[in-house]
Amino acid sequence: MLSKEIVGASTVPIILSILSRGENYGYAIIKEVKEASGGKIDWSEPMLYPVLHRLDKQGLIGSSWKIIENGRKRKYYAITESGRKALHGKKEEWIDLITYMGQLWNLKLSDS
Amino acid sequence: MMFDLDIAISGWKNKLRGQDGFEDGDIEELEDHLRSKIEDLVSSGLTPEEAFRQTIKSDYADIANINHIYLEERKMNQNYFTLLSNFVKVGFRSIHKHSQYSLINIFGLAVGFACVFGIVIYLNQELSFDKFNKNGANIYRTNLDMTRASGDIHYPIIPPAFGPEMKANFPEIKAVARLRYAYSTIMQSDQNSFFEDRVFFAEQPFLEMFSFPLVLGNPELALTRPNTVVVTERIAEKYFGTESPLGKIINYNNEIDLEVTGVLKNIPNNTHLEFDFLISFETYQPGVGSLATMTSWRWLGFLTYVHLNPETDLNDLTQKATELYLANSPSRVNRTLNVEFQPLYDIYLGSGDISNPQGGLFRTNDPDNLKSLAIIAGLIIVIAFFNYFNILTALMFTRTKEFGVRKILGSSKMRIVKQMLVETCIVVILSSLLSLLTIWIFSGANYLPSLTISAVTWVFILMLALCTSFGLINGLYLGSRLASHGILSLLQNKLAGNTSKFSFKKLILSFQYGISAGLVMVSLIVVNQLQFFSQKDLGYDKEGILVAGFRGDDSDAIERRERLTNEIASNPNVKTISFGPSFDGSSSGSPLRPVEASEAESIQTDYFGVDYNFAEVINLEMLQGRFFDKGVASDSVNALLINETLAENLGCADPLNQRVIFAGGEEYKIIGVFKDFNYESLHHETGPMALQMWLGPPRSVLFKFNSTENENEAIRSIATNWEAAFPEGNFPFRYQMLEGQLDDLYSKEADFALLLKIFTALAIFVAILGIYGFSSVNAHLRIKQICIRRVLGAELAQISKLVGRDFLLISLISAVIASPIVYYIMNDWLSGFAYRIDISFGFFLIGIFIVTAVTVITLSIQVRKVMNQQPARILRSE
Repeated sequence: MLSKEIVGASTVPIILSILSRGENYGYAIIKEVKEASGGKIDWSEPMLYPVLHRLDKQGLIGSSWKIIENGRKRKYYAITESGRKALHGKKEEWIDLITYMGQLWNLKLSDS
Repeated sequence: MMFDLDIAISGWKNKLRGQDGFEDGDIEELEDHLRSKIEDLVSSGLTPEEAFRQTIKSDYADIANINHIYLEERKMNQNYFTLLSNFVKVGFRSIHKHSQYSLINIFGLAVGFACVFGIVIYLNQELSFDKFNKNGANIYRTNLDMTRASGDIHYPIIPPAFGPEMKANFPEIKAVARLRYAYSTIMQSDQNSFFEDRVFFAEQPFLEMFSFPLVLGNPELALTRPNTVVVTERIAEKYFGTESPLGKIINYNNEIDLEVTGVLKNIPNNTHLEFDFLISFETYQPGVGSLATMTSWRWLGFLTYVHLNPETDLNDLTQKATELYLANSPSRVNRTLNVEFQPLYDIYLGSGDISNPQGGLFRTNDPDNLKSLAIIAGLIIVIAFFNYFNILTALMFTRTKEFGVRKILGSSKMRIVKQMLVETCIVVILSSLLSLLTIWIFSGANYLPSLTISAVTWVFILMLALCTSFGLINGLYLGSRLASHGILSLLQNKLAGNTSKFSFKKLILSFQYGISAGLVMVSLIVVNQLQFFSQKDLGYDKEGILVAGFRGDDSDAIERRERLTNEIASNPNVKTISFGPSFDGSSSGSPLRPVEASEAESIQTDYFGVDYNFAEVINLEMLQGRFFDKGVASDSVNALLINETLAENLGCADPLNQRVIFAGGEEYKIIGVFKDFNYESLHHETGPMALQMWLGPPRSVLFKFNSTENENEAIRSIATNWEAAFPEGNFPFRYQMLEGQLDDLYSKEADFALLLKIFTALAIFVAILGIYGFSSVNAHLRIKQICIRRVLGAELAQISKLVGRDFLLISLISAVIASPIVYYIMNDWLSGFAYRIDISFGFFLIGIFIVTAVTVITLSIQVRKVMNQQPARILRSE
């Protein structure tokens, strides 16, 4: 499990990165993050939604309701142009950080 | 029963809907999330019921917590305004919910604020006197302080030669302006003639020194030539209507034609010196037959203002001026004398010990009055605050559940404090607006000055201060009170169980009672003292006497006097007519001593010049000797009547036939002693006084009516006589009943008493509102207790005792404690009056009675209300 601080700082870049690959909804995002991180990032589930709402209000992502099978309503989120710009900025910050940490600890980071 | 997922989920959704953190769609989104998760769990082999329970248990157990997360997130998104509007929304909801108490609060505060704002506006005006003068900080009035055996005299008027001599000798004096009061004069244009009281002869530098702007004319030239006059706009309109007044003629006292050379903007209300006419100083001539000259160093008759260089050493100048005066003024033994330069800004409020001759030459006010009002304003604020605080604290006990729930929902302490702050501000702002409206409605009334920008600014500053201080104190107090209690005790309403014998709450309550009781007592004493004034035996008959101005120093005055006397002789309504003093509080004074005594033993003596009928008109009581007699020729030359006080001061075994030196060295014989009568305001003890025959031009004429019943008819008949005597119409009939004129001497007290009465009444009213509100809440809290007792068969009396005992005891004790404090303060106030009432025990009894009576009445209303409710219904709802 990662510490609260790191999770907190990375939440927005992670959400934006996932949404940059295509629109998605809350539960799927949580599930993907949990699985991809090997369970190391386990968001308190209801916490995600207020963050999504905030990003929505800030205009970094957009949202729309869709009717899925058996008539249920589901809210989908998609990244916007300014969201992509914000993600780009965040990405550079994280790469700088990770590169520096790598140097610091003499790690070999694969460039993927 | 079969598990139904849809029912379970809709039950869960309902719980969410009970929260206030969710916006549209939030719950649906969470539902989708929940269902997705359950589907995953079901596909991994769990039953729907197990899946539901597991999901709910993990992340969704704490609905309040979810709500809190949503709320916090929203708060971060919200800008300050939406956050505030949320507080305001909740605030209004709570005000509405407790509308009865809210009304008491808003109304009580509004009344309190109206008083305070009114007082602030009044104080603002009183403190602004003369400040509009741009050079004001460097303008001084020259006063003379004399100390002699007969007492101290501080004179604001000085000899005519002194001013110019100072200007010639002291370079630090930039300008000197002398003014001479013209008493009441008759002013006449082509069509109109009026008595005018606000007339001065003024030296030219006056207009440049002070900031009284001219609308028409040149301030540097307007007062330079003899026989010119500058009038205010008001007067220009009164005499000339819409015509241009410049160059027009106004006749002064049927003597001199004055050319109007300038029109002044109407002078502001906040000036110590009030005038409508400024006649050029060169026009002024000392009265006919007067020994005084404009080069005199003895004649105390001129207001003299000096404009100093800013860097002047005032002490040095004062000393030099004193030396200059002593070098020129004829010396008199046993007298110390000092010249004083009184700053212009100090004159209005700092002239308490300076005599104000000529019937009120300038306006003054007693700073003690302002202090009293400021204290009352403070008291009202305190009462209003404690009212609010008491009711709010009491209400808090009924609102504990609300706060408990809020706490569960994760409301932080700060949030509760902020909410209380906003609620308080809403109440304060609403009541401020209400009070401003009241003030605005009343601002036309006499006793309240009109609103000025600076007054409104002050009111708004005060309003802001009240909002923040009330809000902060109440918010912080309640916030910390609530924070110190656990959620459970809040929910179970444990706070209300505080029944300690002595508590902060009770202390505040007793303070409130004490202030109310004190105010009642103070107002009783003040009202009684003023009553005493109007009823005190003045030593003469003031009823049925009419005083009319009779102006003119000219030689015709004697002839006019005869004409009027002849006309009146046939008037059946008038018993006697007498020419003499005007009884407007003014008198002349001169030293008096027995012939054999030295000059140092002289007694400063006031005197009236009277005619033969004076004693009959005012019903003067002779103690020894006789009044002036037409048959004794010497009476009109060198006879003198003295009052009791003077007789005592003279110390002669038998004052009759005593020869005295009086009025500039003349020898007089005392022919009678009369009972003291009050010719001045009752602030002063009756001083040594003498009456002298005076058959020269009189200042006033007194008419004594045959009966006091038909005053109006008598006045009409005199007016007819007057017109017949002076058909030319250039001697207007201006009159006042002596009684009314005497009231004017105490008009300052009367105005102050009115203000005091109004504010005291309001303060008491606010206090009563508070008592009512507080006891209502208290009764409400004890409803359950009262109901149970009722069910158990308690009588009304027992229940009243239960509710009222504390209140009565507190009100009684605090009223008793307030009494000695009131006694101390009021005794001090009364010592400012020469003739005063004694503070009797009765005032305190009445005060205590009123406060306890109000308490009893309020409480019985409350108890009755509770008794009329159905006990079963109330107990069930609890």
